[in-house]
Amino acid sequence: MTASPNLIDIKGLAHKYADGTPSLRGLDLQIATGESVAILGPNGAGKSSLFLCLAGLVSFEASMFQVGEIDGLRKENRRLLASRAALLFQDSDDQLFCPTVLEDVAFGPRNHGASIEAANQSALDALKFTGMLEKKDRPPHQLSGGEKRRVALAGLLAMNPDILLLDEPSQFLDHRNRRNLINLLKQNSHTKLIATHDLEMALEICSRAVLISEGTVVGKGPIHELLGNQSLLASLGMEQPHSLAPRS
Amino acid sequence: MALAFPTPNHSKSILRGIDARWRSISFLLAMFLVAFYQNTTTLAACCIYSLLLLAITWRDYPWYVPRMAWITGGILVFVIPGLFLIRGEPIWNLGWLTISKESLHTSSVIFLRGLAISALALAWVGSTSFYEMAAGARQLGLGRSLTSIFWMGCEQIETVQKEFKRMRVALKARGQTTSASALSWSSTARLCANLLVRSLDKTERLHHAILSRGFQGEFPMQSQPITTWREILLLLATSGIVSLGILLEQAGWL
Repeated sequence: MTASPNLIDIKGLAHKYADGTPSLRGLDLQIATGESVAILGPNGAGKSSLFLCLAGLVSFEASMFQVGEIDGLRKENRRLLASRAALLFQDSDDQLFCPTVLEDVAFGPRNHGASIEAANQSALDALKFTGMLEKKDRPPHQLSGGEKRRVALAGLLAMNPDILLLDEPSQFLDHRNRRNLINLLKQNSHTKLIATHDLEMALEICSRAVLISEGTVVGKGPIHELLGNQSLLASLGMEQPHSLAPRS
Repeated sequence: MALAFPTPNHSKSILRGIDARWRSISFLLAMFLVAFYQNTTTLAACCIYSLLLLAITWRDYPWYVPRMAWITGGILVFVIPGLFLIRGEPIWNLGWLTISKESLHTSSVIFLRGLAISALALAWVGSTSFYEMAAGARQLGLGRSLTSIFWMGCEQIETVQKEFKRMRVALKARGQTTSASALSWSSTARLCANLLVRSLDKTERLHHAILSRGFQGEFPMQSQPITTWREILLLLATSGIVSLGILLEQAGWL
């Protein structure tokens, strides 16, 4: 197999829910190192399923599945995918389960073999980056929605992954917390895939977008170009973001 | 286990700074030792001491007082029939209802043991989160699979309980009442099934979250094991005092 120039190189990705309903039907995706790409599409398009596949958390089929040097087609490699592609869940309550913020953020590094001191240091650095250092001894369930999201993001950053998979990161956030999150993500240099319905946020953070519908890619390209295509968006029941809409 | 939910506020426990491994050893050993008491007087003293430990170590009265009341009621349900069923030298008689010396002793021992063990268990649960229990148990040598099953079990029960709370609020918001009409019972059955499906779905997401952070059955704790005078003091105050009571009982001094 020849080495792919892309960090993510997927061809013909297919996934079914437990009841047999297909969620992904032969999806192709190529992402270069350092790119920030928006994964857009209507509800049920397969965005979250794509992320679960990329993180190696569900079984799937594909003709090619390369994430960095990991060949995801080999089932024994799928557990390794989680160490390269860290997933931020839609609902932060699903993601935070340790008794304190510090322990939760250090959970990933410790599982990846870091010593207690190194894991704590990674966790403290990540909490500092997300502005949550002061809350390190608090139980996660006592935090506000915006704080939980920032702690969950710190948990991802502490693992030092190659790719951040962010599933609806601005969901449930008020304007101030949404703005804080956007600023944080803009400062971050990781390769990012952002599944979102918040098109204005996608425009601010991402240079490229991939449109998904019914489990396949229906459009891809520079984000301004793609979101400027009103007829394509309308065919998927999506609306053009206000900042790109022609002024009457 | 179900009585422990919703999970209490561990930050209110004065034991929160003590190493979780020592907390678990101290309370588990004390609970085990209570089973060796035979004399009702010493057992009553042990029971009072356990309740005192619960009250001193953890000030979250609204959490544990109703639970202790339910536990007391639960133990009495099993103990009271025994009072009249165990035969022996009668000490109280009312028609066919007879309480014997032996039945009184046996029932008292079961009741006091149950109460003492429950108080110690609640003090343990109040000072130690389920994650800390699992991590501590793993580091004390409990098998990886057993520890995982314990922790995932706790997470599952907690998830069901949270979903139940959410559903109850949603139902009340839409005017549901608890009247026992046929319609209400059938809808309650459907809601129970729905609760099960919802909590399974939620648990699956939690499982994904745990796996996505590289979990492979080990429970990383963020601190080295600590043994200071405070840990030793806790061990002495729980297991030490309880075992002293047994020794004095055996020596015939109590």
